[in-house]
Amino acid sequence: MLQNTKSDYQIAQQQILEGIVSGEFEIENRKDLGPLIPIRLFQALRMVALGSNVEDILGQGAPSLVYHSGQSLGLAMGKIAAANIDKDLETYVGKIKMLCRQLSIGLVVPDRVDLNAGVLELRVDECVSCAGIHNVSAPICHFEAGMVGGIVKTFFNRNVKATETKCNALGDKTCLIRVDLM
Amino acid sequence: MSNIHLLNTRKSQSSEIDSILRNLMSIQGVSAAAIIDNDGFVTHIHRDSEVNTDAIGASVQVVFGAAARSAAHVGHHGTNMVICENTEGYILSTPIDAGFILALVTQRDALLGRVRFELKETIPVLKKLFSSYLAN
Ligand SMILES: [Zn+2]
Repeated sequence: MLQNTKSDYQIAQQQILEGIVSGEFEIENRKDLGPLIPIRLFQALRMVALGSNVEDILGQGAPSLVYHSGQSLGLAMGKIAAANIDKDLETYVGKIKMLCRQLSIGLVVPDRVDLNAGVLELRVDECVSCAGIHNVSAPICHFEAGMVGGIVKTFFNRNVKATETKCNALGDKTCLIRVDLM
Repeated sequence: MSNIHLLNTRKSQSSEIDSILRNLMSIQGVSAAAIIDNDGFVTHIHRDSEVNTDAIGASVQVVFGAAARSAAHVGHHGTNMVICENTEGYILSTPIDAGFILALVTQRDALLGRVRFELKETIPVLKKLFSSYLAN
């Protein structure tokens, strides 16, 4: 077998990311149904396929896998947003906000940026993962935390630790993600 | 899924953790010693060579979690250590507290019994340190 060939998931990933970069939302093979899906289907993938099912197999390893998956998406989004902006943080955040709105991930709002303390806090209003979910015992948006971590990591080119400190599913009305620059 | 545990790695107390990892690194054949949080983030690491900390942190948590789950399927409910034996050496992972894991990477010439013994001796000390950190 050839070394370094891409797996089928990697091939699909590349095509999906290229689709996102192009800003083109129309998609082939969905003539009647179109490019949009009900949010509950996304949530089933996120909280069941990449949530309770992963937890069944991996136990305490589940949040790490989910965080890591979100981080990979965040790194890819960061690369898209960082192109041709000359390292300007405000432009970068603006592009990320737009991308998250276009993809219906949520409405991203910087809540606190303290670069001296190495801390950023970003709100994700209307978070796609936990909208309409209630009565959980702890924040459940590990994917979004990882995604925001990946986005911040790409801009600063530093190790970061992102933690969801408020979650809509806890009754907080928003998801707040704190990012510590290491 | 677990609760949030923020461990401020910049606190001066974390030098105690660093000295514990340094001691583990002095065991023959040990090439990396790391502490990994419940999200797979490497909070502390000492190593001989470059390691992709994001990838290793998540993998260690995933392997430990999967091993503990498979143990539970045969009625074993307390997973105290997971050992991964590779052609080039071993990876040993041990739970500390609140989802944190201590992982050691060794070369092939490491004495597994010795490394395992030292890990078992270290865990109670780390548990004590972590319980006071996490309480703050
Ligand atoms: Zn949330």
